[in-house]
Amino acid sequence: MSIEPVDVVVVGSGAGGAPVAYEAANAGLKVVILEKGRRYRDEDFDHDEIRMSRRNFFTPSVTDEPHTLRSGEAAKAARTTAGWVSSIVGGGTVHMAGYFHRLHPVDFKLRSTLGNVPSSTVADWPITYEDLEPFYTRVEREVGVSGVWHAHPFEEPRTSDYPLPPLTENGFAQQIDLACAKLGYHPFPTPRAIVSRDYRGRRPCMFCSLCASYGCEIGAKSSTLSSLIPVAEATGHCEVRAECMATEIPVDAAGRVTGVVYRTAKGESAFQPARCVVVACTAIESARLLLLSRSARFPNGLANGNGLVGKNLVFSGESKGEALFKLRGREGAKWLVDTAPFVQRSMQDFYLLDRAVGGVRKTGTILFALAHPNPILTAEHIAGTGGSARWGARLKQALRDEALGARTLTFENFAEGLPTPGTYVDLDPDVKDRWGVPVARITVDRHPLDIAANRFLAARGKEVLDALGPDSSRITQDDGQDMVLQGGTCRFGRDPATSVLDVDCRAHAVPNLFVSDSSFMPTSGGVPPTLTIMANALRVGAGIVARFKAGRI
Amino acid sequence: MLGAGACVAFVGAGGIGCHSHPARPTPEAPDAAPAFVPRTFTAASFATLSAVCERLLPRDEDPGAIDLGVPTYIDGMLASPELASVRELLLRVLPVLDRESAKRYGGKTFPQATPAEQDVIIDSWQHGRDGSQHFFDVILSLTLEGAFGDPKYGGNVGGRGFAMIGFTPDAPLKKMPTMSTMHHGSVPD
Repeated sequence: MSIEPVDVVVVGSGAGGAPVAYEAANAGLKVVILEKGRRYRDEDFDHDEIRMSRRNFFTPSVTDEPHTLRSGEAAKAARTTAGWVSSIVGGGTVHMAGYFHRLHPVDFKLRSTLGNVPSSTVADWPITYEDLEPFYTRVEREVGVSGVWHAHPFEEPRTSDYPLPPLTENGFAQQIDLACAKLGYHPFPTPRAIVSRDYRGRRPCMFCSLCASYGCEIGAKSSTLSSLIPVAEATGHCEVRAECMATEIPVDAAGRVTGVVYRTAKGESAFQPARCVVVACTAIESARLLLLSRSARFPNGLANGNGLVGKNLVFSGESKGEALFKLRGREGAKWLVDTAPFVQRSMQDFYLLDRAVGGVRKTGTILFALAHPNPILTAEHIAGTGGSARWGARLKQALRDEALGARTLTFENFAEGLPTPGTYVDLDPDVKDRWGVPVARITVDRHPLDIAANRFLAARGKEVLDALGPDSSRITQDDGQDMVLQGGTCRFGRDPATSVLDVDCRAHAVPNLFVSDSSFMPTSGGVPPTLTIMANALRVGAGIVARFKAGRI
Repeated sequence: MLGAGACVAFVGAGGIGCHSHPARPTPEAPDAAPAFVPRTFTAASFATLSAVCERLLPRDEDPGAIDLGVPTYIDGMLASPELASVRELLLRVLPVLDRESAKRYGGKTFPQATPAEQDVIIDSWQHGRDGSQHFFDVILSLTLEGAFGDPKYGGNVGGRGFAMIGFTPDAPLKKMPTMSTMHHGSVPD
């Protein structure tokens, strides 16, 4: 089968891929997006927790397409689903909660700010916040982000307001504000990739409460599936080819990539020729694709002459806590029975500490939300597991007391996850997927300051919860890392010896190969990275368009 | 998880078992009671399963596991090929529970034992080793899926599980028209 060549082939349709396709298609370039997952319509998404959250709707099964994971090189890697984001048209932006914070200027110069951090490969970015600011602004407008400008003293510098007003807040928000005023903290409305009013032909949020881990059945969530992709397709220049998984990126004798080999829905091999290739299938899978693309010119994987593809993997640090507020004894407290699902409060008072506390200066964001309303998840959380699980009459009573008879307010933290030499992706030497292709092996060697930053934020989060006077509160996790919030495997930089990509996220070693997902990030930042991935991908797309216009591709 | 947004919070990505595709078993009619023939289990194992689930989530002023159709849910769900490993586990362990009960309680199978006697056995599995605690976790998880999952799978009969924990599915959305092609049209700036 012969396939017509295109200008740009993009591997992946999520936060890293769709903005590039959008920019290129709008400029008249011919674009094909290859997406390994299926395409769904809005009405295909429902509130069936079993289907959406408990089987393998968004991510592949551990038997078909595992990753493997080990703590340190001495450990044996075990099969896991960890590190998969979302195999579906729209990628992780379909099931995201849509917390769309920007990075802060310090995130672009962490090495200069912290100085040498022993045992970490922390590096400055080769661009500044100011370089990315216009693209943050554009993404917020193109996809639809709601929020409040000038809401707190630690806000990143912005040049314009959010395109949409904030979402309706649950009454807990005001309680948090009152408590934080006494503590001297500065909570602010969480920016969300959810449209709060009619926006560019899309209807606003209906407050169904099931955002994270679900697709939005009315398209109010600003996934690429609901925002950028339909617009790119409407240009007539962009085709999304679903259920097509890229398997190799070949190069010609001159060392230029020629297109993408992929496996179709029927399991057949096909080749999409293109003048330029953009890889954006998540930091872990993008590294895997490059490492699988071996040739005489690149025997250790495409663009991997310096051995850095897969290295410097970072995850967002994660800690969590919760507080229980029983309805009994609080009769008349309207905020407690408010049915608005979003508490909408974040806090960045400790984003960069003036002086180190226990070695930690850079932390991140504390985010407050009601507990996820998933009913099975709620019941499991109350029941617990193993030897300490509650069951029988005790469980029935606990369900009445803690689910029906109470509200649970949670915090979730996004902390700096420092890169280390021992945290990386490579190809598993033993484990293959169902097609016989080596899978990505994730090796993690955590930096002690990661965990310290998590614990610092967890203590502050719990302090706020306790200031609201709950019946009980607890830190439920203080040393986690969110393996969906990944980056860094193809670090960008000015020096070809110490980075994979150049400032434009073009491979130093391959003039027509770009990587536009979170692989480029030298550091994780202290916010959920989705907005930053999209803003950078739009910047990469603009750069590609400029190259085509100048005849330099 | 992707709180990141995307990330934040991809909740419960694990669930039970390992599937290639979303499981979509045919819903069982909840009122098929007198003539109900299990698809996955023998009649004896289904009776044992029902007894275990009922002890994990017993009827009190709120409905119990059997009221909520939990055993029927599990029987139907485990007919799905993707849950073969879970099915094998239950098919293997449920007869063991009966034998253990008979040994402890003078020949009575698990369903024939008293609730207090049944609880002793469940407790020993909860605190046991060599995979017995795993069985306990799996059957507790399946019970909660059946009690609080979407009623279309045969459990959570009449949405009474939702009511028990105050969950209101689709409340704001029921009023809305379906929107299929809305935002795929023109995109004004």
